Amino acid sequence: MSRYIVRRLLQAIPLFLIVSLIIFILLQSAGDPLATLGGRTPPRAADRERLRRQLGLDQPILVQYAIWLVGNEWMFIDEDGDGVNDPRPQNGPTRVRYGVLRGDFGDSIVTRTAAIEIIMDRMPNTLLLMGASEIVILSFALLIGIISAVKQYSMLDNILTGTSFVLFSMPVFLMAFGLMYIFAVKFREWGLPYFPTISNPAEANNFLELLWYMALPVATLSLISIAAYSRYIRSNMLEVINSDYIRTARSKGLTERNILYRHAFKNAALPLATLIGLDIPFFLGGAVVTERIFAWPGMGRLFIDHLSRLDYSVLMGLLMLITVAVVVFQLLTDLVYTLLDPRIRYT
Amino acid sequence: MASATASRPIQLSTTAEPKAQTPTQRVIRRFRRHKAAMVGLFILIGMILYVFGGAFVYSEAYANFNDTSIRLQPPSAEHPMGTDRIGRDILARTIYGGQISLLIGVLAVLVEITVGTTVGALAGYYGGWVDALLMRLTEAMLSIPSLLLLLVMAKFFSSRIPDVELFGRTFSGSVIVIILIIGLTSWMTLARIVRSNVLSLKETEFVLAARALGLPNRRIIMAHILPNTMASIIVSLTLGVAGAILSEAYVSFLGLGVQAPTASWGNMLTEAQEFQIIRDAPWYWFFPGLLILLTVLSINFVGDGLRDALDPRSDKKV
Repeated sequence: MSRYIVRRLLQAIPLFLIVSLIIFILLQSAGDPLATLGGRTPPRAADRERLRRQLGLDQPILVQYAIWLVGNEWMFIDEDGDGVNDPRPQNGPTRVRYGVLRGDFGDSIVTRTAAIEIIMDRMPNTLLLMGASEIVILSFALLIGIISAVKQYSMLDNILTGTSFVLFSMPVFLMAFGLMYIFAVKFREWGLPYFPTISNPAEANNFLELLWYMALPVATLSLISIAAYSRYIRSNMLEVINSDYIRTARSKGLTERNILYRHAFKNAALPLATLIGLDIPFFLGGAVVTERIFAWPGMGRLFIDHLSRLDYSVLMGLLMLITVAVVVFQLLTDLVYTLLDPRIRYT
Repeated sequence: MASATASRPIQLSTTAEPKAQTPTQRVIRRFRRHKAAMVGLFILIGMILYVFGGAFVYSEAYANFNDTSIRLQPPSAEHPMGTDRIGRDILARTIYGGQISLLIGVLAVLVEITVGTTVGALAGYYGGWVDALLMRLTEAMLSIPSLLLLLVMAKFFSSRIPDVELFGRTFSGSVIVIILIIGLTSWMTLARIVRSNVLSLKETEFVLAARALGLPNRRIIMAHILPNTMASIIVSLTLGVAGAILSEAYVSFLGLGVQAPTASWGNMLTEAQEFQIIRDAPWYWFFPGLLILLTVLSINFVGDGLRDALDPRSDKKV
């Protein structure tokens, strides 16, 4: 088992290298990160040139990638930006970088603060939003999935299946705008308590207020995913219900409730563990569209905001955290699966 | 759906079918029995008539014509879907935007199919280091959330491709960019499906026979293996169109997709995301959103029907 884990982790190393190299090249050749610097008062051409040298943006892309990966204290840097590489040590504005492999994600070009701090600042908000959504999704999807499997082809099943097809095909923004229009605009007109459309968890004073702020974005994310999850649960459940050991359980005269929850559900829920495990790491990416619409200060919005400035340290940091999470969670999912299902063994 | 029916006891068809059918006829018969798929097909045909037939009623110049004196007008007889922020007719824009959205959906899937099938077939057929290399690449692409990857690529390609003239219309270069990047970020699942199909097909006797006859590898792959994976490719292709239309809508909505003045269902909503517009001009976002929903829904229905119809194990009586 431990050999299996080590092998999987070793296999992940080339994966990180491929992903980071591809993204780095795409980002670094997408444009000039200094182009939007200074906003309406752009820096003078000479200053911009100096800054470019100080930030190392004048280096070939592969050198920049190497610096991002392993740091730059092994090379001479042009610290004062005069076009001549300076011997160390010097107290220039360019700090020594240690590279991602030693936990240094570099500084944001926009704010000049550590990229990892900017990311960590947003992470709780995204985890909050996505965690709450996942709880809502799972509870409702399990309920709907099991009901429509047990009552297969009944009126109720047909309605639930039809609705989930519609919700599943719903573009996020239509859902978000529709919910806003009904629960924020119309509720206000009708004199009912209405939900906020701009959600900032930092402004919430207590837990209830936080839930109030989260209601619409969570509903947007959940309604679309409940559909996909419940259809998955339904088909798993159907497969199990029609299997031989359930027939055996029936012929033993067990109660229907007992059959459903003790025998069928446990086995039908197994593949669900995989689905959740594979979904969780992608939470880190946040929900770009939903966060944008509700102005939720999460990682998805961070990504889209910093992408427009080509702030590669933050973008790379974010994408690499997600990739690491994907690999780790895939491994964890596989390991948990062996615990849940004794039929599966890895060697 | 398919898995649910597969576990049912196999019914020997005692009620013998009236006459022998070719596989294609059987697929068509099964598809026509799938009510949802037939409904989906009708909506889809209606949608195609709407966006291409509508072009004979409204000219593209009219769709781009703006008159700020009639901005944000609610639906009326003259403007059945109202007008947008700079006084353009939303109905006419949904027609031309729909052409772009459907075009992007179909062409992006062609890119996806080309890349996915090639990667899957090469990896499965040759195995060894080719397989290892291609599958690592596939995993790498799969480990990044697809929308984020799509946005990075959109940023990379933006303004790299000039506008093109085609059929007397000017297409913004962003349309070609978006087709390419959606195709290039969505092929991974298909590549895995094709690879696993090829892996099992490559050991079958007819492929061994083809190899014994000394046919070149390219011909074995193209003429003997790929036709047998068509069923899964067709289903992926259909569902892929729905996914591509949604992807285009999201990327354009975030401002990195199709650029003005070319309309697409996605970028029509970009301008609608201010709260004042959501509140005071619901027609602005409702109609383009509804058209995306209907299109994606109908394609998903058709895809679901095709999956059931093409699955040889499925003999569901719907």
